Order: sequence, then structure tokens, then C-alpha cells
Amino acid sequence: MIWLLAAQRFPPPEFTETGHSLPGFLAPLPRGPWLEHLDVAVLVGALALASWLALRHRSRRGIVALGIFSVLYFGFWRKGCICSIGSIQNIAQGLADSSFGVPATVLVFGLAPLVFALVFGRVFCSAVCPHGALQDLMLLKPVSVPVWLEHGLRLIPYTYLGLAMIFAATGGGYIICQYDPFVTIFRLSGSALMVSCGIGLLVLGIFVGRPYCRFLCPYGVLLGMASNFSKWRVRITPDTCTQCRLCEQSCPFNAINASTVETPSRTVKTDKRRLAAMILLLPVLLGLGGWLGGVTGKHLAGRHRTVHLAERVYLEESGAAKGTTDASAAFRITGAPVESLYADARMVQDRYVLAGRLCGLWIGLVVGGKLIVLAIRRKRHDYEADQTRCVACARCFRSCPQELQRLGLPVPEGAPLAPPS
Amino acid sequence: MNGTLRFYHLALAIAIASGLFVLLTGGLLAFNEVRGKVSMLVNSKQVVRLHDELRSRPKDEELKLRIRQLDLELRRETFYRLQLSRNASRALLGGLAVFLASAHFVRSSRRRLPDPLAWGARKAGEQRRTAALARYAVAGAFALVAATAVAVSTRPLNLPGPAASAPDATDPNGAPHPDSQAGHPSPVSPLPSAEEMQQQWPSFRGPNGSGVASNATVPVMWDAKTGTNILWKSEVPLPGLSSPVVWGNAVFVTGADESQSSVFRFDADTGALAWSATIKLPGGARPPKPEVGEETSLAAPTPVTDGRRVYALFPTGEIAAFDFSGKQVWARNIGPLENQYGYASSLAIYQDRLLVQIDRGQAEDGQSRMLALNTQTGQPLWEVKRDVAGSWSSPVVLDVNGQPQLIACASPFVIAYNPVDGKELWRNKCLESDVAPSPVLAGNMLVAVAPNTAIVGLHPGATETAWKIAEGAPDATSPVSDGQRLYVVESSGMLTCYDIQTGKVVWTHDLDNMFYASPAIAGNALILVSRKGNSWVLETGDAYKELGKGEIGEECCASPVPLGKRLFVRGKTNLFCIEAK
Amino acid sequence: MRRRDFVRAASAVGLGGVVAALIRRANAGDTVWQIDPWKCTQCGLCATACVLEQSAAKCVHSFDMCGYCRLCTGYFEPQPNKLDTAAENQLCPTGAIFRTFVEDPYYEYTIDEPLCVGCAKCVRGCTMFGNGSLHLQIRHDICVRCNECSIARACPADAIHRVPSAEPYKFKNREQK
Repeated sequence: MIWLLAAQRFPPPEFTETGHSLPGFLAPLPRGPWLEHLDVAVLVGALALASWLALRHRSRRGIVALGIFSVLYFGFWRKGCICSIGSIQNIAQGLADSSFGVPATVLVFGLAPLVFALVFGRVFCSAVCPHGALQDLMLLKPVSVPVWLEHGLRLIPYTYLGLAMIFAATGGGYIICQYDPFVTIFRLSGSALMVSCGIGLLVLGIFVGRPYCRFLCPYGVLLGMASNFSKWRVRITPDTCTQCRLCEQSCPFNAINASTVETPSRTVKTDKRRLAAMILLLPVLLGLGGWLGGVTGKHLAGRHRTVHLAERVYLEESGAAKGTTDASAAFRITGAPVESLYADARMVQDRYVLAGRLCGLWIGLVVGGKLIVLAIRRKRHDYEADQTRCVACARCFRSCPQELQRLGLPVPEGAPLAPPS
Repeated sequence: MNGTLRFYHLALAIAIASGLFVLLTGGLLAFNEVRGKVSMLVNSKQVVRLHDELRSRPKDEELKLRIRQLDLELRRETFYRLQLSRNASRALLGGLAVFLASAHFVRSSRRRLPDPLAWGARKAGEQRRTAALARYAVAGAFALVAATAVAVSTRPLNLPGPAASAPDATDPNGAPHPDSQAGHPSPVSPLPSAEEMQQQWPSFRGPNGSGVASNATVPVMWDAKTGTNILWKSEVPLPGLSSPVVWGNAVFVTGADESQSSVFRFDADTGALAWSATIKLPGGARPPKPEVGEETSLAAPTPVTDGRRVYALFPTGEIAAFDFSGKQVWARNIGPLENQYGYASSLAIYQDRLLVQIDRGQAEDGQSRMLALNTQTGQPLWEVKRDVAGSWSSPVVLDVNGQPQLIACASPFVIAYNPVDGKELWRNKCLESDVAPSPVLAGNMLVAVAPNTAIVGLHPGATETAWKIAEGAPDATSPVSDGQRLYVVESSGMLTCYDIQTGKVVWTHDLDNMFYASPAIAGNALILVSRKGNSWVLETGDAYKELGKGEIGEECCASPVPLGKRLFVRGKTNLFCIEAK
Repeated sequence: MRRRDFVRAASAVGLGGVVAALIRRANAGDTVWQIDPWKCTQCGLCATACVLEQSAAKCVHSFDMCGYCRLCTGYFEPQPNKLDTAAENQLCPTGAIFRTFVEDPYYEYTIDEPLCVGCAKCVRGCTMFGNGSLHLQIRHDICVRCNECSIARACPADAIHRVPSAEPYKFKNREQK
């Protein structure tokens, strides 16, 4: 097949009889920049409102209403793109590749929720993120996930974050965008696989609270880490906790940490030894992760367009594969030397090895860190919302008798009350 | 209270109804999706078929109507489906919203107050237990992630390594550096000199393809049963009919079966198997097993070496280069090579060109070609079509009046090419039938064989033959010459000595044995090995003079290799090294 | 408490650092996706790779490059039965190209955009045998502006890249090459 670049084979016409003039053609413009500014304003406004609703006003109804607004605006109106979850990939690529520009809108979308999380906690997740709000609305019959299982599954979003960073930074594509299940719902179209995943997650979300947020969302990792150090945070009780246990089963997301039951002191020694073992294990995990990440990284490079093309061209050149693909045929038309393609692909592979090592180190750090944290003896006096996992959904407030008292609602019989502070 | 109960039942009814609606609409959308919309229209095979039919029957009005009908239907259906998809999804969302609203209402009406007493007292140490289980869960998740990473890492990497940097040229003309014999990459120049090549037996029938090792001295008799003059005997792991090649202390042999094509290196002094290397094509694919005859085998082409790497070709089309330590440097598939008896031409080499003669089919089929690959990278350098029929002869690179010529024989031409760029230098139409023997040059006379038809002698470059012998042409063995006389052994065992300048018979002798291996000359000894494994060592001269007899005790089809004080013979199972003890 | 304040402050500084590193390039402004018609190999993936069901990539016609030929190789099938508008003669599977007579021997070919699905069959015919005036472009009234364009990912010639939203089209015209 000979593909020739367009040549002007036929001369321009001369309309001598009719004097016909050439028609122009339409060039519809993309949506104007002011709409981008509007999006940013709405985002920041919604974040502020969510913070106030969750921390100050303490209103579940308000959170739900804001959530519905976010689903409608950020979800169905803006079709779920640009979103904060995906924007971290743009930022990663911008930091790694100096020729890649990140527009200001994307920067704000990526960083504003993190800033709010540093100050107020995960208010983004509560009612501003359309994915989270959608899942929140779907939750009808919460089934509790065992806490230990939740801890294990939490490794997935950390891994997803690491992988997303690898691919974004090396120019291998945005896997968060490619595998986002909810954007197909917002756009009302998509590949059959992704639509089914979206529907599947929604159905799952009827029973398991916020499955994407807890077990998949890579941005949630960052929000959780930021929220850990927030200045103000969601409190279950408006003032004092009486350890009445009434809020224990009110959180569908396992985000309430109960007060610690007295543990026998004979276990102190084993606990201390275990903690030491976990600390010693950390460098081992870092080494193992870094090494394995580098090895795997080289193979992940096959996902990058250049490497994929180079591999295909090499197979054709050495006779191991017959015929050409669209991509290899397009490459050969350009007439570029094969050796330069191989050289480019090797450079990309090297980037992937480095990125893989970093990702492996990251996962090793996360696993090691989790094991250490799980080995620490903690003493907690009150029932608290977990700093990392609480998404500020405001479901737990109404179960606290102090809150009911504050609102002037009838308190259940026998519920202990502390004098309001 | 009654009012709320009424609302409750109403909400429940709405929830169920809208839930059902959502499910049904979802099913409709799924069904709509499966049949395809735009892709069905754009990639319709039926349309293509009908258009082709119309081109062959342009006046068929009914066909035109059918095409128009089909076109209309497809367009209508596609756009209808697109619209259905849009509207149904919106309806689905509306239904979902109604469902959620009513379901939430139902749920909140049903909500009960929490009852901590019913949950039971909290156990001491429950948090420790949970933490312990959680640690196992985290470790398990890490194991899963690691396992996935390992699984991903087993995917083959199909990229060539960076091109080899130019080696330093330190000793261009000397004897092979000892390091190259030990299996390290040679630090001498990347290409062997002509003198180096002459001192080894680097290809089928030795340097120049002549079958002559002028400085070699071999014992005149040996016996594998008693071990007389047998220095060593080693089993070759895989079968093949290719002949061995020798460079310094390394003896290379190829063997293959259906699952692998391999090269083996033996130590010339001890017979120990230094290594065996199997060809791995990029992508990991195995080419299909070619049809080979019993008399050719899956490892018929003899390999070739330049003292830096050994190059092997197999009838599957696999061709690869290995360094002297057994590491594969490159591999390609240049197949298919099949011809009616199984591909058997051996490789030839000239400086950095690896030369492959691929002759197949009939001359007019245009399937025959001569191919040159870069010895360092395997990249094709040139390829020339040959208007010849299938052949089993091997090409030879000869020095003709100071000019290197690559000479290939097949029916009907003997053609000479410039091995550097493949340009044809001359051709002579003098052959017919299935050409299997390879040509030899002695002095200024090139001898080629057309099996069962003729032995021809011609001067390189001439368009006519110098002489032509109409009988006694062998069908498999190649001739050998000591410069004055030409020795030809037929498959039946009839050995004839001709005068190389005139083609006249000098003497004949019937050895009464089947012969497949081509004879070799070491010094003034003519060595012949029969299919049964019996050997004769004769003195070259104007009369039949037997110097001794040998016996290896197994079948032999590969040609013997004399070098230095040794003679290497590859039998059906073993490789023998024969040296006077 | 103090440790938390410190970490919080450090994180804020970190985020500020990220902003500072990137903000200079953010002035490049917003970008949209567009096809480079000179790199396009008319593979046809634009029609099915878009996340929208009817692709945002559509054919446009550069009239100043068009030869206005009677036998338009972008409009007609190879070896058409007859040079008329019958379905069996047309290349376009959705019938989105309209052929109108101007004056002898010139015909004008216009594209009805709502019907075009971006399959590039006409583009291939025009580029291979004609002037190459028909080409695919992403229409920005339809394009959803995904963060990562899935047509760009599928394009075998790597012809789709981000362009400044102030110049959102890469139309072909006679002067370019």
C-alpha cells in the first residue's frame, strides 16, 4: 500500500461562467476561558461551604444538598472532566517534563482540595467531589466491611497512586482517566467495559459505602495524608464525649475510632518487640520494593507509545512478525531511521526503570509504615473520627446524644449526657 | 402517624417501580450497545462485498437497488441507535434519581435507634486482635501486589540492545588471539583477515569451499571399536546432518529437533561440550516445522564462523549469531525456506557479510534469492532475486584474480556476485536438474555439478564451458581437487579421478559403498567417508593408492573436516576427533 | 501539637513549591486537542475511539485546496458505477457529503456535519488520489476536552496533540506543506 502525502494533483478551479466564490467553513470555538474561571470559583466556594457545613453548621441535610449540586454541576454538567483526581497526573507530568504546561485551572483543581484538607480535613470528599457525592447518594443498605480487611484493601489506592504517577510522569498516559468508572456515567457513553465497571461500582455502592473512595481513589491517599495534620477536624460530638457507644455503628465507612478498651499489661513486652521488628522490617521492604519496582518498571514501559512502536518494528525487522500494523506503517512512511526509534525507546525504558524504582520505594514505605502504625499501642479516651479516613459526610452527628441535645431534639432514654461545655 | 405510613407505602411502591424501570432501561441500553452503532456502519463487511460484486457486474440494476436499500437501512439504524442511546440513558438517570429519592425516604422511615446493649460488651484486647489481623491483611495485600509485579515482569522485552561500539583494531593480521579460543570476545579486529580464515576450517568444505586443508596431516587409519587413533568421541545432543566447523580450539556443530534449533561448541582437545545454545527469536515465537526429507534433517546447513561469532541457519528459517561463549548476539527469521527435499544450503561468509543462498521452486516462480546479512547485527544488507530453480548447493566465496566472487550454482545458471553489494558479475548457463553439489575452484578452473547429468568445468567469467562430462555426475557429493586432478565420488561409490584442465578420466575405482559426504584432502591424502561410516584414505595421484581405512562405527552423512593434525567426523550420534596417537 | 503544626506548615510550603514550579508555564494558557492533518494516515480510528458515541472528529473541507473535480476520489468509490449521487457510488457510509454542480466541469463538495462520523474514508480517497483537501478535525462544539484524549491515544501516527485554545484548529490550506 503506497500512502502518499497529499499532493496538489489537480489545479485550482476557475469559475469563469458563474463567478462562484469559495464558501468559507465553520470553526466553532471551544468554551471560553471565563467558564474555566467559573469552575474554579464554584470549586472553591463549594469547598468553603462544605467545610462550614461539616465543621460548624454540622448539618447532614446541607451536605446532601451540596452533594446533589456537585453531582449535577461537576458531574453531569461538566461531564466529570477536569476533575481533581485526574489533575494530579497533569501536575506530575508537569513536574517531570519541563516542556509540559499545566494550566492554572488544573493546578487549582488539584491543589485547592489539598489545601482545604490541610486546614479542615477531607471536606472535598464529603460533598464537592462528584464521584464521592454520587456514591454517597447510592448508599442504601450499608454492609460493614471488617476493619482488618479494610486495612488490607487500603493498599490498593496507594499502589494505584504510585502507578498513576509512573505513567503520568513518563508520558505513558493517564491511567486514572482511562480507568475512571464514573466518568462514563456522567458522560452517558464510554467503552462497554468501563460502563459496566461504573454500573458495577454503583450497584456495589448500594451496599458497601463509597467503594471507590475507600479502595480505589488515588487522590484520597493525598487527601488523607493532608487531613492527618489538619488544624480543625470533624468531631462526632459537638463538645464532650461520654463514651456512650451510640455512634459506634453510625459510620458506614469504618471511620470512627472507638475509645480503647483496657489491654492487659502483660502484653506490653511482646507488643514492644513486635514494634521493633516492624521498624527493622521497614528498610527491608524499602529495598525489596525499590528493586522489584525497577525490574517491573522496564516491562511497564511497553505501555508507552514509543516503546510499543519500537517493539513492533523490531519484531517486523527481524522477521518474527509478518505484515505491519497501522502504527508501524505510519512510522515507516515518515522514513525515520529505525535505529533512532530504538534509541528513543531505550531512553523511555530508562525513565520507566527510575519511575518504577521510586514507585516501588513508595509502596515499600507505605506497607512498612502501615505495619508500624498497626503495631503501636494506642490509648484513646474518646470516640473520634479517624483523621485519615473520615470523609466528613455528617452521618454520625445525629447519633450523638450531645448533638441531639444541642439541636433541641428528644434524647434516647438512658443515654448519658455530659453537661454542655 | 397514619399519614406517614401512607407516604411510606407510596414511597416503597415508587422505589420498586423505578428500580424495575432502571433495570429494564439498563437492559435495553446494554442490548443496544452490543449490536454496535458507528462501528457497525463504518466496518460493514456486507457493504464491501456488495460493492465488489457491483464492480464485476456493473449493469446489474437489481444489485444497485439492493445496495441502496442496505445503505438506507444501515444509516437509519445507526442514527436511530445513537439517538436511542442518548434518550434512554437520560431516562435511566431520571429513573435512578426517582429510585434513590424514594428509597432513601423508605430507609429513613425504617431507621431504628441504635441499641448498644444488644451489641454486647466490648471485649478486652479487641483492638489488639483487630490490629493483628490487619497486619496480616496488609502483608497479604503486599504479597499480591508483588506477585502481580513479578507476573508483569515475565513479559518478554522485544528491543535490541544498543548497537555494538566499534571494537579497537589492535592486531589485524596475526593468528587468532588466545582469548578468542577461550571464548572471550576477541580483542583483535572485528573482521578476520584472509590469512586467518585460511588457517581454520570456518565453513562447509573449509576456506574457499574447496574441501582442502593443504597443511594438514591426518592418520591413515582409525577404528572407533578399538579406539585406535580416536582422540575423543562426544555425543551431540541433538541430531543433524550438518558438518562441523573448526576455529582454533572450538568445534561447532548444529543440531535440531521440533522444539529447538541449537548450536554446540566442543573443545577440540578434549571433546568436552563447552556449551549448547538454542536460538531465541525476538517475540519468542517458534516458526512452524518445515517439511524436510530424511536425507536432509532439521539441521542441514553447516554453520560458519569468523573467529568472533558462529552463525547458524536452520531449515525453519531461523538464523542466529552466537559469540564464542555461547551468548546469542542476534537472531532473525528469514523463512520460509522450504523446498521439496528440505533446505540444505550452508552459509558462506565474506568479511562482515553473512551470505545465504535460498533457492526454491521452479526458475520461473521467482522465489529464489541470495541474501546478505550484517554479521554484527543481523540486519539485511542486500538481497538479490535469482531466476533459478530450487537447489541444495552451498555458495562459495572465491578469490578470482584478486577479486572476491560469490559463486552460486542452481539450475540453469552458475552465477557470480560481488559479495559486498550483491551485484551480478557473470553467469554461465550450464546446469540442469536438482543441483546439490557445491562448486570448487582449482587454479583457474571452476567445477560445478549437475546431478546425474553433467560435470562441467569453466573458467570464471566465461560464457562457455571448458569441458563437460556427461556421465558420472554425483547427485549429492561435491568434488574435490588437489590443483591438478579432480576427484569425484558418486553416491553409488564409484570414485573417478579426472584431469582438471581437460576433464579426461585418469583413473576410476569402485568403492562399492553408498556415499553422501563430500571428500576432503589433507596434504596429499584424499579422505572419503561412506554412509555406513567406513572411510578410505588414499594418496592423491595418478593411480588409485590406498593408504589406510577407517571405521567410526555409525552412520555418517556429514563431510569430514581435516585441520592441523586432526580429522573431525560427525556421525549420526557422535562427533569424533581422529588424531594419530 | 507542635509537630502537627510543623508538618502542616511544611506541606503548605511543599504545595507552594509545586505551584511555583508550574505557574510559569501555566501562562501558556488553556489547551484543546486537535488533529494535525499532515500527519494523519486516515486509519479510521477517529470514528470509534472517541469517548462520545458519535465522534467529535469530523471531516472538514478546505475549499481553496479542492480541485472541484467531476470524479472526486473522496466522494466516489474506486471505479464508481456511474458519476451520480446514487448510494452504490458513494464512499461516505453516512451520506454526509453533498455534491452540487457549479459550472462545467466543476462540482462543489460540502459536508453535512451532523451526519459525519469521522470515519476518514473520504479523507483517504482524497489524499491518495486527489488534492487532499478533505481532512479530519476535532470540532470544539462537540469535543468534551478530556484530560487525555482517547483518540490521541489510539492514533497510530501520533497526529493528535494539545494546541492553544486560542488557535484551536489546524486547517489545511494551499500554502502549507
